[in-house]
Amino acid sequence: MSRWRTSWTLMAGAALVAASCGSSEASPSASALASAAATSSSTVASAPATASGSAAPSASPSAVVPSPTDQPLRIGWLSEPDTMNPLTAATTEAVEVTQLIYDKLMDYGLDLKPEPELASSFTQSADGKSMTFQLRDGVKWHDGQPFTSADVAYTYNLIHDNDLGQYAQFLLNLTGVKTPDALTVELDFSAPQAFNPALVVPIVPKHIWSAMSLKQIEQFRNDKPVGTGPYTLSTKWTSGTPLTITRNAAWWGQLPAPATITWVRYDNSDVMGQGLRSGELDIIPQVPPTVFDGMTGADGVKTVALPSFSFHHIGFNVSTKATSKGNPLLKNVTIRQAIQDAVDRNQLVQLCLAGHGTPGDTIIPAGMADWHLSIPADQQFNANPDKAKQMLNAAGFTDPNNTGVRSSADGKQLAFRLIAINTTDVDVCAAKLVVNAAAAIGVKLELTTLDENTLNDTVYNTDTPNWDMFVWGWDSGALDPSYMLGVPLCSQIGGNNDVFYCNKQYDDQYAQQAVTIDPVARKAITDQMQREYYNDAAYLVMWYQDKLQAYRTDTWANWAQIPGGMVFNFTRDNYLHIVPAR
Amino acid sequence: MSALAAAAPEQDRGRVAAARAAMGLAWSDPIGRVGFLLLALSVALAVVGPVVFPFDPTAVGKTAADILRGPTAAHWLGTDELGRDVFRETLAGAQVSLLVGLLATAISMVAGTAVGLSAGYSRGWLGGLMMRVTDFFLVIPTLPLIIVLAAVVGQSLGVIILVIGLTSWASTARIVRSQVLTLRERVFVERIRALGATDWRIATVHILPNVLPLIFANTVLVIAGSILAEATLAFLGLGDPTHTSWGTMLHSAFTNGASSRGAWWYLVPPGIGIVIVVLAFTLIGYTLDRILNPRLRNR
Repeated sequence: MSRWRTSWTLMAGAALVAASCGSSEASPSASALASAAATSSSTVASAPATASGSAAPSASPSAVVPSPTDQPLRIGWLSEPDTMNPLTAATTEAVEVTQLIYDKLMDYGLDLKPEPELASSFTQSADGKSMTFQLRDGVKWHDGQPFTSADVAYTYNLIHDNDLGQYAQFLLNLTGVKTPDALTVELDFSAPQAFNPALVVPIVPKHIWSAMSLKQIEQFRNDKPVGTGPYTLSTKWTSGTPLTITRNAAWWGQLPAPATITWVRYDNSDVMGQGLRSGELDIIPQVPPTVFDGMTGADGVKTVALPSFSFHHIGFNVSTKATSKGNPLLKNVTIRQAIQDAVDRNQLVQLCLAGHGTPGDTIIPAGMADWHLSIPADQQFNANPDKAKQMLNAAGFTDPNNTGVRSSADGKQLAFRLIAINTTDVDVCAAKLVVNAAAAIGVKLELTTLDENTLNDTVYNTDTPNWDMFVWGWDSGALDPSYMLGVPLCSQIGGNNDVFYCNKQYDDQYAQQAVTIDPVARKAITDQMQREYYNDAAYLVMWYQDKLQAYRTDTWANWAQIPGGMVFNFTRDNYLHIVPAR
Repeated sequence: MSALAAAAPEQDRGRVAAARAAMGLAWSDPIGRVGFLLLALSVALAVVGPVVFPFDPTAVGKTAADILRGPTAAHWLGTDELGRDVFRETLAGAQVSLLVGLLATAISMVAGTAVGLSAGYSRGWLGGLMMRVTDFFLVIPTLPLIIVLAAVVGQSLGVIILVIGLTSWASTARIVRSQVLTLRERVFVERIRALGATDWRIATVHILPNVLPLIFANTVLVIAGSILAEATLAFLGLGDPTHTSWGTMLHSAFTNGASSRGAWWYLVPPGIGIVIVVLAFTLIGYTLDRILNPRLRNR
């Protein structure tokens, strides 16, 4: 799952709205990138102060234009991509790699504002229903074939017509893709578009993908990806080995400095931190909260705490399929609310994040300050075990024989399975605390830990999900509320929807906000959606964690410290703008 | 038959005396005595400790300042990643570690003895087949097998006990078989067979008691191995996350950055616990082996 990103949506939303209303041109030219880098320091300065006093360092990236070098960039990660298929990729790791292999029409820059990518210019009609992109000339796929508007049309139609993957949620109103010539694409929608899908949809080559059936595409592992991006995967990657991508010398943009980018798998974030200290790695996307403060003074290492567009949550299996093997008691909203009430989110932040985060409530991270809805304390399901017990008693879930576990009237125990990723220490920590909290209200949770891909396969088993509860997290894949709000859609069952929640009214509101361009009116709808999903309690949002990252100061310089993280963010521009430290 | 029945208690009495004598010899051996003392100490801590200092896994800290905190008057050995008392946790972990070690060894001994006895005693294809199975388990790299089994079957304490037990019986079976091979050719076995005793009776009543001392010495050594295996599994994250053992403590300490943070109080107590218990069983095991194994006996 693409999981974690904070939002700054007022800015981004405003930019998008401006673009859509005024049919203004997207900021052109690659030179805009340098100025974007320069402004990013102010972005950081104005970012909400993070807990722990680790103020974002002020080392602002200078406006240095990178030039290709032989130096490699080495990054640590704790879990691996599930696929190299950019359209069906679910894990953050897969998105991180494929976004450097595949280009999009537009992308987020270091200032987290839209910038052109494969499109050299972008206009939106006055009614907001039509978007026209002028494509770059002379762009070639990695296999040498020319890139044309036919590839763009193929990709958008493939996603929209087949409801394929997580990006389908942004193309719900797409009515047609026109290609007047080889370098022009027009997307037509049935309603005005508040969010520009060009910012997230990777473009795949028609000449390779059109040879496959839909079923083949859904299962396509894409071991030899062919994109238009700045890096290529030249050797087949096998799970368990480091993944290396190589600079594409024929890329259309300003060639980035790292000759190769290698991600090395670590089983443990503490060991990964040691790898950074000893110089085996150049940057790590995740420092364990317990060692973050201690690492701050280490030689040659710079630690950075950034607000994130992410949250960690506990999902409840609410699948209504007859074939679901989840415990049917969890379809009862009272039980879900009671479990939520039992958990003290502040305790989770204090103990599992060592204070480096904010207690969670709705599915839009607090970092997206302009879209996040704060649920008032007296309306929250949080840290109130007494209320939880009352709710369960009133609903007839009692423990007459004092076994410590409540049962329903027909004798079914309130005992559920809870799964967590064994390498995500903060999740295991939270799971243990939640088990304790649930036991205190007479709900028994049985904890098992798995590796991430096993958990992914277990949870996303749409037809026969054999699980009750899981601990996981989300990164918002876009700087817009539509990404996170799109997860619980009925249509995302089989896509991002990890708890199989389905609520027609919620879906209608989603469709409505997507075509509401006025930010105030749109926020009224998104607030309602957040509250509704919060009250339905299919997600227990535990926290919005700070992004704790660290890099070596003696290998690469010019890291832009932006909300959401230097790497593992939805902008890939840090990879393209760093320069050697010496 | 009546003569045989009368002889059995006589034999038993002799064996009890022999066992007592072996224990006495082990106690008089300085190495054996150290082992017994260490074992007594750890069993006492495991049994009495949690009664006097009960560990409450739900007694977690309140703020970030409470986690991985150094020793204080309230927490003699500091706190763990959830702010719980490491001293009490170590005592609770002793119980789980010993329990897993003993139960896994029991499984291993029963399986190993049964296979070794039948393989050694039966002359036909059964013995050959049993031995091939044993060889198969002997050459399998045990740790990877345990890891795979634990990952596939699950993480409950019972499964871990079963998995360790079923992967550690092969060497016992070999030892038992070799002893049975020599015993079955002895004259007394010929004599009993001539009197009309069945194979089952010969194997269980006459041969088994004679290999018991060897099995016993071996058992003590297997306990040490089982405790280590449990600690290894738990350290690798394959332990039962709902029970506190020394292995799971080391796992949590490691994954939560205790080493980077210099939180020695979380790493050292379970580490020392494992060393003491494994050392105790190893010392006793070797001493008994030296006394009971005829080939090693140097008296």
